Amino acid sequence: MTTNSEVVTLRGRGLGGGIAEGEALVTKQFFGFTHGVIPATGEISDERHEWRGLNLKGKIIVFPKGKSSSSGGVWILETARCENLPAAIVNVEAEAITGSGCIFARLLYNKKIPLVDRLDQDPCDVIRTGDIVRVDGDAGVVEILKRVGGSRPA
Amino acid sequence: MKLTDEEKRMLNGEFDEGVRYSMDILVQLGDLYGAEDFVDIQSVHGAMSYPNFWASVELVESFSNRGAKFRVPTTLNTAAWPSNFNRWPDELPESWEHMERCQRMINAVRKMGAHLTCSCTPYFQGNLPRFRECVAWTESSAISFANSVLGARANRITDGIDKAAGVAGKMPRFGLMLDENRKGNALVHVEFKPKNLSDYGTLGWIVGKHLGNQIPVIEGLPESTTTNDFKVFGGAGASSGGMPLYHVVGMTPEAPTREYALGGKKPLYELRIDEKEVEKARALISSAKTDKFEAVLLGCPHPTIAEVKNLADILAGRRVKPGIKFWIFISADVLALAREFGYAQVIEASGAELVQQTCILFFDISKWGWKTIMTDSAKYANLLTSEPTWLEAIFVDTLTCIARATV
Repeated sequence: MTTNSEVVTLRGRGLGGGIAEGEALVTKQFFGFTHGVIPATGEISDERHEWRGLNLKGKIIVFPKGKSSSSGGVWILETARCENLPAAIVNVEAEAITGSGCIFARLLYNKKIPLVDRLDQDPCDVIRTGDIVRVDGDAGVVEILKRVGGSRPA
Repeated sequence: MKLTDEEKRMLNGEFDEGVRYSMDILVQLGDLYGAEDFVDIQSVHGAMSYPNFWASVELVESFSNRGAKFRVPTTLNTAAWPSNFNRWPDELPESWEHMERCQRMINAVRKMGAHLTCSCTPYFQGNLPRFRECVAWTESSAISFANSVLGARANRITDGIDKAAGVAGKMPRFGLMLDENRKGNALVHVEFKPKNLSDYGTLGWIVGKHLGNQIPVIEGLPESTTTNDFKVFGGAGASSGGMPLYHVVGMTPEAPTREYALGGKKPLYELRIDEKEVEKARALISSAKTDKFEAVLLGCPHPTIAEVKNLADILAGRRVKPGIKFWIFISADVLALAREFGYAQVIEASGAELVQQTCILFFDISKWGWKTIMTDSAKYANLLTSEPTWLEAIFVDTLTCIARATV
């Protein structure tokens, strides 16, 4: 992690998807799309998740790892079809089901979701819900542009 | 990824559009996994995607509309409706839209050349990989069986990757396709003698629950254990914890000895399963607080002809109690045999129904008003009590299911 006066930068592995900017939604719990989100609305429906009731559309979602269910790819794809995708996904370690979903969302619906993992700092610690974040899925870079409440990053 | 000349030509569109599209997907997948190269695969067991979504239809049609054809033998996992359309809508109350999506997915894979076996036990329908053969399979219980019992090589993949692999005849080499990732790292001592298939399900559920992300090496299963017992064991373990690969010392091909199965290393975890542990697990799987149930669901995974004969023997002369649905899920080939031999007729005379080529998990049963189901399958009991159905389950052995649901 490097810090200058303006932004905090985390570097890791870029799994594609271009660049996106948005408000972060952060959890330390695993998260799965399968029965975890309502694709038609983007609302998080996993009854046992702390994100329950929130909406992931347009958010930079930050979580340790996907709950691996083999149908997860299609849930991401349906969320893409309904135009309710998050803006980007940042993981400690991305798993292939999420990755496959992102591949198909690009191919079928031309929806790019930057996906970045293996960062030099734990993103679930460093990034806070409400931070404004830019994710570069090709370069594998996550920048915290603005902290919650508008303060500049320390 | 390192590509051969042929693979480069496939990716550049020198074959056909279906092959180009599939290779494009697989190269991206390979990059995601850090795969170095491709392996040739010999078969696919493909999935029908979640039928509630139009994206599922558009995903499979993105292959069939490109004229893509499967280049290796491809069977299909359980699907909604293939031969049950005539039951709609009186017995199977789903929407027209739901049915249309299912029909379109079936049409697409048929056009691509799949065998519409529609069963979770492809190894019983002639899709039987040899030792060390690489395959692209879906269905967690089948993957567990292929890796563990047959010594074939299969990774867990998501819908769509199976189609791409079948069209290209290839998969990126990663995960369980590599020798170094197949050694056990956990040791399980079974100190309990399973008496029936449900007991094997309970054991699988326990191992999956405790060691889901590990590769267990299991000791202590009785000599009488059969491949069919492993079918149930692996299915339950895959549902409670993933468990794509396990080794059973002296029984499965990569476990001639404990040391070999563990790759000469010390296990990271150790688990002892005795009678008490099994009792505890049974109570957890059988979550229902009531003795009342609306339906009995058998046939998970799909039964062998021997299991069906057993059901016919027990059900002969009995009647399913009024108001109770008694469904046995079954593959088309086993049902055809069962009818030929007269077992199916005996079962149907009792009021029980044989529902072919599908699985309860394809139905939107949360809308059917059921609260509690009874099953002999730890996998069903596990899955139906979680998202999205949240039913209660009574988990008992086959004999008890029949005794309580019939007169």
